[in-house]
Amino acid sequence: MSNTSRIKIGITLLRIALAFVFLWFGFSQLSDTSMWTAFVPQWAINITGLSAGLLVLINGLLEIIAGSLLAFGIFTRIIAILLGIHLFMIALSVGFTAIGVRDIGLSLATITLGFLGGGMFTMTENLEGKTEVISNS
Amino acid sequence: MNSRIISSIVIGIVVITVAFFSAFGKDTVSRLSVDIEKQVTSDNTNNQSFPEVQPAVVVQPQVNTTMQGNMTDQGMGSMMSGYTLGQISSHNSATSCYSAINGEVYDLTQWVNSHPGGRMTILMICGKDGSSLFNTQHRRSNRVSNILAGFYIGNLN
Repeated sequence: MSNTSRIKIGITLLRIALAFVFLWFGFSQLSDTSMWTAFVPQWAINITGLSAGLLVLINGLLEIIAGSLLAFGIFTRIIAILLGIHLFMIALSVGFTAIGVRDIGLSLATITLGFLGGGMFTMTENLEGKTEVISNS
Repeated sequence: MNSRIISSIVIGIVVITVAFFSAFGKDTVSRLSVDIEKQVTSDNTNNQSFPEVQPAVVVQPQVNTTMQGNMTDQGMGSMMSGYTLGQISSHNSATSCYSAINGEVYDLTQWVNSHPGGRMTILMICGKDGSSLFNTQHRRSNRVSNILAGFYIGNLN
């Protein structure tokens, strides 16, 4: 197996794994909103004027949409960077706890995916002929 | 459509489906079991004036369900006068998990499988004083304290 193939497989696995993570949390927020409302920062409620429950629903919906785009490999770079920044902000608000540190790691992995591209089996690559992966050249 | 496009679509659909069922499926099953438990408790205690169980599956109903369990298992006395470490030590499993944290007792049974940090960290403090581990991980987090408050069942004696 060539070096490029290994990199492509690695990036593809990273994309699918992160897509699963965001989709799972998105679906969880829709299925059991109240379990997540305690994580909504007060400033978000103050700025938007929305209830914590509604913010959780909106956040869950956005994570499902973004996770689906990652899973299909559509606009992988921009979606991954946006999700990474989003998760990084959540991690900072949680603080340096076990959950916060784990989320910081996940957010940096997501941002890394944004730099690397989507790997193999991406819709963007198939439809536009663009290769969303680093090459040897 | 060529095979590469089909592969992309199939992979995307599989990931979304698995995520959906692992997230929604778990909660749906848990919701169903809570509803059944409520129904059974309600049938068994028809003439007693327990707090009304809410229909939604959130922290609050889980606490209500637990409160009913306490009343059945140990009587109202435990809730009013508090719990001893001896009483807590018998609730040391995923099916019944009590823990004392900073002088207060919490029923974390429903939280075992929902804890974002994994079930193992909750199971580690079932049936014992979990203050040390909790304070190490979450002491400065008001949000975590808010979640924990939803599982409060009494004080530690």
